[in-house]
Amino acid sequence: MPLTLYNKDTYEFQTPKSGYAMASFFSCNYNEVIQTSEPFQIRLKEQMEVGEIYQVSFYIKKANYYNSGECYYGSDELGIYFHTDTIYGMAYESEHEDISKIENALNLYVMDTTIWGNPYPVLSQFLQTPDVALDTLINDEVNWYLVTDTVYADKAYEFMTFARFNMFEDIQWAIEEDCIWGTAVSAMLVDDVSVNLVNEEHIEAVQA
Amino acid sequence: MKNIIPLFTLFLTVSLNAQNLVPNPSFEVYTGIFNDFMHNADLEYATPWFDTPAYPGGGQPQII
Repeated sequence: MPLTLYNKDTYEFQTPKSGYAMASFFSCNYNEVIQTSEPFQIRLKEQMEVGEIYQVSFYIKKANYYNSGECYYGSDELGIYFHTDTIYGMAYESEHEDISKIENALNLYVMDTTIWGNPYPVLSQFLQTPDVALDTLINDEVNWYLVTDTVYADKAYEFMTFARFNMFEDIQWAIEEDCIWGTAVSAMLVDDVSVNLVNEEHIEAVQA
Repeated sequence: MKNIIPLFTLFLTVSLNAQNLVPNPSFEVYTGIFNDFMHNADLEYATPWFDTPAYPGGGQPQII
């Protein structure tokens, strides 16, 4: 059933891949200095088994909302990182003034607070490499694109994080010519995320 | 009987392999944030998903 969204905010007339909800976020912004993103995370139902292979997949399309003069570009920037570190979120941040005090918290970026007197910390380095990365430019606002890959669990991974993993110059962009430089971001929608154990050897052994 | 056991084992194996380790994979489970109209909400309403700021005070994803 098509879902029409309330036009109070920025989203309208885009439907989830399934059901009634989907995640929306800025995967990256079109700015060489302030390279932000909106990572999001989840704790898996159970730890991955060391030595096993998992099929990871999700659907993605470009968000088509426009407001405040901002522009939304397509890009090929988004990755998934599996980890054993503790996750933390906005709620944690409000409870812990100093995130560094959270035990074993995942650290994705090096944020530099001294560049050009910018009021916000500037992303200067990525600390992690994604296990699954977007393999094409996403600029379609209608059709969902299936991203799927296999991941070998060399550790008992318990958490997965969607985030940006590349600097501005390493990202492929779909530029809107009438957009204002510096205010553009790459806005994406994600739905139907899955991580499934692939145990082909076991199946083949049983079939034999 | 000899054939039934492998078939059962195969079925069990496929069933186990089909389990999605991601809870709330389609963001359909969320707390009472939507009223008469659909609108945006913080992703953390779709428990157990978490937002993680790219920097302190940074933006956060949403469910829509």
